[in-house]
Amino acid sequence: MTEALKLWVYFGDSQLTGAELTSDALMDVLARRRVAVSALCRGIEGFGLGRRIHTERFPDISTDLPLVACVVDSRERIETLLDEVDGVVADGLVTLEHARLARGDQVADAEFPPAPGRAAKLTIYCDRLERAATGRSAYREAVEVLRRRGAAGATALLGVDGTYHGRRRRATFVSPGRGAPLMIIAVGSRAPLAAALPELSEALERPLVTLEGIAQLKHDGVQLEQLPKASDLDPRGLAVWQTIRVYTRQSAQAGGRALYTELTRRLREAGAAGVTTIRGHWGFSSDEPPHGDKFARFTSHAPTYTTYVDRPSKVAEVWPVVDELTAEHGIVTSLFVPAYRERRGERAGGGLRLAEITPPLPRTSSPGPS
Amino acid sequence: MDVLPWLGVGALGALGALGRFTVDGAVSARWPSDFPFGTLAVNLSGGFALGLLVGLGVAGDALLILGTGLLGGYTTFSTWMFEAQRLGEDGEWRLMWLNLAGPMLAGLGASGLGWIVGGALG
Repeated sequence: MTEALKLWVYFGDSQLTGAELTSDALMDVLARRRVAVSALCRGIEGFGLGRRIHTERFPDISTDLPLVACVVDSRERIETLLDEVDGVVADGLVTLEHARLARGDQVADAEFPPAPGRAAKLTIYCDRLERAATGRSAYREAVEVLRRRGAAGATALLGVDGTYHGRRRRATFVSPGRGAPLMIIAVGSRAPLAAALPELSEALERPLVTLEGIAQLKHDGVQLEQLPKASDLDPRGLAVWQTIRVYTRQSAQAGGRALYTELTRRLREAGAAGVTTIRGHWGFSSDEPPHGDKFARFTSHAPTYTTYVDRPSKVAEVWPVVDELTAEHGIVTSLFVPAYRERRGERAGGGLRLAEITPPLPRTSSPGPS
Repeated sequence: MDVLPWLGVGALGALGALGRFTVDGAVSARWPSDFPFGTLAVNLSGGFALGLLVGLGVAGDALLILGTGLLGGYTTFSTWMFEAQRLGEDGEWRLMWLNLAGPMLAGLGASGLGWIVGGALG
């Protein structure tokens, strides 16, 4: 197992780096560096430092829809990559999260790291076209295993570009058969997720997963954990950030509107730093069977994955909004983010030196919090 | 058919599309809402203008260039339908039906009003 970093890059789909699209420039860098795993996902709605909400709901004026890149590798490899990422993504948000990376034989008995929160998050990376040992599609098999083992939810996000085991995977219009990166984000109690690992390891040909400790605050309106609170600064004076993630489905309603869109609007009104929603390809967040988008059905039951990142004090301040809108639906999780840096033109904030998160994250695999 | 009106339809069609983009963007920025007011503003003003042209007695190539070209590029059926479908996809049924019925009735009124005004002026 490797102590890894998960690098998230939030930017816009019409952004340019020189004459090239920023998304292409970024993915070229990741492919050249043979990053262990990465996926570039298209968002359906979001806002950031620019405050304007970009949404695909209004096609005539939907310019610059959000893009989110998730990049995972060992801590050292991610840290040496940061300068180059900075070079190609001039405007946008970059965050770093701690994670454990397990591959191949390590997956079956991998352990979740201790963290503020009792729950766990398991992310399985695969290719859209990959088959499981049973002959079923690998991602559907993985979601099924997770559901059977009692995960609270699992959401498969489809990437349009990325790397997998260090190799480029890119969905292109002309050759759709070439596959595309896909990540399945499962959350829930530690025991069922750990119990799913041997079976997942068995089912997938070249398993590649990340493990994180998180707090699962709510599930379909039921409160499970208190919102973890932290000071905005670590003992050395480095800023700590916090992310609230809401997993639900596109048609889930709150306040008379789709939950994800109402959440985006209300958080923006409350002065939140930024929110992005990605539509999932497949998944579940309740006791229902896994769902995707069915062609014949008008209302979309596709899963949605909404990320909100802000200072812990601001998260605590706007928590009543999140709490109110998730009174009935969705899984709500919290994770502390040790590095956050946003840039837009002349404006910049935050930094990428890793802040300390308490309880401390151990460097070795076994000891618990002391 | 003459090539000139043909080119006129193309040129003014492009101008109309730019107009839609500008008006939709301005309205949506001024009144941000879940309801697509930008598209409504475009379709209502376009409906009024076409009614006005016909009421004024504009006909032949001029109507082709201004009506089919300019207003054809300016107004949009596809965006209207897509936005209604998208509201349904999000499970927002009330807004979806409002967005189907509202612009239809208002559009009928706008075209009729344009035609009456045009008739009075012309």
